[in-house]
Amino acid sequence: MLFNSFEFLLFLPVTFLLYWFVFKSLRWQNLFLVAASYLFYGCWDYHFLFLIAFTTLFSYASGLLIARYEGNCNMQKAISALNIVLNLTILGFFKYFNFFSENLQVLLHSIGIKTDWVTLEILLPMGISFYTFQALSYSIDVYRKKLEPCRDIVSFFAYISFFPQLVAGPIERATNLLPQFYRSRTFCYAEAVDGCRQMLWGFFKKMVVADNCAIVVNYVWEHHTQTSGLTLLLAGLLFSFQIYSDFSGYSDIAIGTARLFGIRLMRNFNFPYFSRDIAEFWRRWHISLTTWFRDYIYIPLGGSRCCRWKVMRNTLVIFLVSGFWHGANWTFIVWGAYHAILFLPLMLLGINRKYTDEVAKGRLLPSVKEVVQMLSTFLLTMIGWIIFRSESITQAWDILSRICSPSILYFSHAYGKKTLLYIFCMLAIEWLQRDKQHALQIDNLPLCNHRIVRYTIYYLITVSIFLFAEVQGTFIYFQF
Amino acid sequence: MKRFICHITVFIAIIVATLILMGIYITYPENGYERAQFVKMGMLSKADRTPSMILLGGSNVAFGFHSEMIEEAMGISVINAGLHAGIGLKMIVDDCARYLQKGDILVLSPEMDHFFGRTAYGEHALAFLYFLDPANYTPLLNLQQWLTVVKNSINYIVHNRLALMTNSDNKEQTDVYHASSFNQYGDVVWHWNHPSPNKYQSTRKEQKELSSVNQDYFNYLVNQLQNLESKGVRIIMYPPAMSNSCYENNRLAINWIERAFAKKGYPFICPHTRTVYPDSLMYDNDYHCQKEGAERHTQTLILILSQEWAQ
Repeated sequence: MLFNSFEFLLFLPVTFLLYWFVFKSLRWQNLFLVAASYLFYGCWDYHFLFLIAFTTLFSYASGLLIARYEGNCNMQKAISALNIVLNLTILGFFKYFNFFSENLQVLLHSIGIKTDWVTLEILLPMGISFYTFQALSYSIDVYRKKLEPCRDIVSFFAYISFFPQLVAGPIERATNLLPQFYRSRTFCYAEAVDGCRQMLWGFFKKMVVADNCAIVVNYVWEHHTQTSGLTLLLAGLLFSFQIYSDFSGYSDIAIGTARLFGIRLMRNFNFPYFSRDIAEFWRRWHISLTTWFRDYIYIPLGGSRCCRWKVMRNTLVIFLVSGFWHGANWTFIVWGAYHAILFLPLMLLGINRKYTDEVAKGRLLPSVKEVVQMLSTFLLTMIGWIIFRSESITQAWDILSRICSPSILYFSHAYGKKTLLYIFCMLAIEWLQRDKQHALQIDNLPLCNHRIVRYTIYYLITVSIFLFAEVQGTFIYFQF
Repeated sequence: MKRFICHITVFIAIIVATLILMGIYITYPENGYERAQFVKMGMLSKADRTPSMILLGGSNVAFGFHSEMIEEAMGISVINAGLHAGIGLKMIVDDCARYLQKGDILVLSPEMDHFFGRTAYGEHALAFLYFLDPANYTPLLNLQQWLTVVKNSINYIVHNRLALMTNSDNKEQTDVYHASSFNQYGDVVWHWNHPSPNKYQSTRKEQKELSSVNQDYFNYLVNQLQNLESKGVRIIMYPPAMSNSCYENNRLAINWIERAFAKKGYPFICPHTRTVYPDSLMYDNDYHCQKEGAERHTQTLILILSQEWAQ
């Protein structure tokens, strides 16, 4: 079930009303959330419900076993390792089997060994990377004694399958989300209203900005061999905004939906295109994944508190893993490596934490220096997105070469004029609201004290969604 | 909680009222593809119409025939009543059946998709058609089709508000999906002189699961065919024109359909393999032939019917 579907339009109010009015006790609310989440996921493909249930049960059991072997470190380590290996094997099979199989075949062929290797028609379960990482987070935190093992199986099922973030995050930590299922929840008007505002902004970003960008981007990418450099550059720019609006839009809808049920999810985006360098960009982009890699890979490898070459190695590892996490394609790995190359100099010069507050704080407009910094950071990320969007390294290289060719001076098609206008509107609103949790957090603005003003804004945004939306369907990050 | 529900209900009511107003003022473009359904049904409902050969199905039929060739070869007037599989086979056959008369020959070429899942009950195209003439189509809708219409009503507004805002009817036709793309028989011909904007690639890459067969609709269709036969209409089942890639990916589903119709006494007049064409003959879709594909598909029908009628 997609957030931008008719089914969800019915599903959400019905679930909300039943949750607060019928299932009033904590246990029943949790049980109901599990049932609703399985229905939500099962609408896509019910076969994979068994896979989520298996992942959940195995992680739950491993937590209990770790507790049972208290004092026996080796046993605890073995159980935790077994859980990690099993989860990664499932993920690896569904997501990477064909990639490894095909690449091994090419490698063997290149050294003269002919093989009739097996590739399988594997359907990737939606959101598998997200819920697997959540299951891993629990298991590792229990092993590290940061979290008590969960004994309430219903709460644990709710933690893994909570529908707003099940298929595309934010990737929640067990330490943040799981305890929320232990505590009874009461309805909070302010939270619910702000949740609705956040959802509304998410829908605007997804349906107006991302889906309009997608039309131009898909067309240009499909015809990239007949397209001029300038048009390809424009498509690269539009894709940069498409992926941001699509994914951050999804995150806003997910976080807003969760707030309606009294659950607070972690922030996933913090206006990343207002970053002044790549390090700041990575503190603001897909925060739940970045911090996951930091906590569970980077720091265990030694983090930045070791010799210089190890710091470089650790940084390279998390960027490559981050790239590989996105999918079984060399383009994602190269994208990860590209960002590592951009990030490492800042790390080595010790200036990777230079910008930790928001840009132009307390001012309406940025300085010229800040504008240049933001534009250059955006340009660098855009090159990365062109690699990311391409189907192969060859295609990415071809597009980048065309952008750098004399055809950059020739504009072959007048695409995306209105889309640029939508992007401008989105950026302008986000710029004005960059110190807030989300762009529609308007209740403290001077004019918005009046209810009529606030409702007029909601009304205009909702109507503009109906007027300017494109119906593109699925979210980009579902495939990861 | 009550305050929240009150506020959200009022807000939703205002939005719904706005959408209803938009729905009233937004009309489907004059040259919209689905409008061709009225032209086709108009041809069928003519009081002085002689018994004809009616080609029926989704867009495979609209794109798959050169009706003039049939008329010349078989000496019978031909109406191509195929338009869009998204209307759903139930509506396609129900709408047409109202106008069929004794002596008509119904050549039915259903896309395989109609027999799996809920495709037979339509997609967004059904809603678009419904809003063009609600009074005409309301009696034909079952519950599933109503759901499709309701579900796609917002889509209808979103899709068509651009016509209102940009007055797109006055622009030059840039793609085939317009009411003016048809000839006097009902064949889509605009693309015969215009190359496809997108290179054809098969979209039906996954094998359909036989567990998703819509048995209810299949039985409904068989029943309807029996009724038509009792009215004096001759039924000919002719496999739709299809690309080779699509056929290769969907053999199981196609074999099931062939067997199921044969078992009910409506066998296809030829194996599906005879109406499978190279991908190079397709226009922009697994079922949409280019001119050469349409001619080959038509010649195959003429050849089979000539042999059959000669016996």
